[in-house]
Amino acid sequence: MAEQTWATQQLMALAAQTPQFKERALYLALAELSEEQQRRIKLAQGELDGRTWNPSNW
Amino acid sequence: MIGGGFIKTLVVVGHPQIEDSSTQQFLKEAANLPDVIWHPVTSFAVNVAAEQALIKQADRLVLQFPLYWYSAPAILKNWLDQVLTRHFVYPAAMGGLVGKELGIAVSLGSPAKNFAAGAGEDFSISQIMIPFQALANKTQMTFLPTFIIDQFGYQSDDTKANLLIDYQRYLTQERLGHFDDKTNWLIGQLTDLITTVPEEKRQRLTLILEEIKNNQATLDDLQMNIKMIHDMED
Repeated sequence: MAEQTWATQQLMALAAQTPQFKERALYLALAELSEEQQRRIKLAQGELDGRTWNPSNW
Repeated sequence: MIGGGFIKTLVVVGHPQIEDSSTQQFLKEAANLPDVIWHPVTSFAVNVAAEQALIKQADRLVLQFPLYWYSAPAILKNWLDQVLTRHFVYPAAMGGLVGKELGIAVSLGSPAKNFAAGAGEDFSISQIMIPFQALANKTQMTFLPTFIIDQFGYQSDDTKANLLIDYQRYLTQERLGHFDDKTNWLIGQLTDLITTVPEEKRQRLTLILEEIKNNQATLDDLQMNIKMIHDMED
């Protein structure tokens, strides 16, 4: 498991402190979104690096 | 219309004992959103003109029901049969449904995984929903992927929290299944929440909102660059 971002950590902490069901549900969904964004950013950076260093285009 | 940022959604709920259903009460609470009309069908006597007027002002029509013998309960089928007159729905006549979206929110008493070829029920939910898909085709609606609520009573709190957000998105998110639209939807919800909380929490949530927006911008940039390289390689 990759390290959580600041936003994810904050959102998980807020979810743990929030008794209101709807608000808590939103924090959990946002935490998941933030993690998914990180995954997609990493993938896209990897793809960009790979394509930029494609020797057939040198 | 869809595309303007606000989808008007009509949820037509067909359940013989809606008040006794914990699933429907949960969904009712979740559907308490701007631009969503929660419309339970409680009688076999239907005011056709009034129901058609309700449908007309919606962009997305969601039929919501527990699966009864692989179909909608009689009370909802009766509503469909009476309200969707040929004159109202045929594209060559009034075309009252043309360009709208049709969604189905179905609750199951058994696990969703049972609905697959070779599994307990042997048929998938997509197969079971074909009559509704045919209705959407005939009336020139866009048929949405079916929203499934299975074994609500057995779900953990976290699963229910997930269900709440997924259901709300099903009702009001613009393009379902698009990550960008999901992101925008969640950003919108957080933005609304920020206006209702005390100052200290507001600051904390605003920083979170900024980080999520920054992530989105970073991702957009990366994807644009990747697309440029793709285009050059073509």
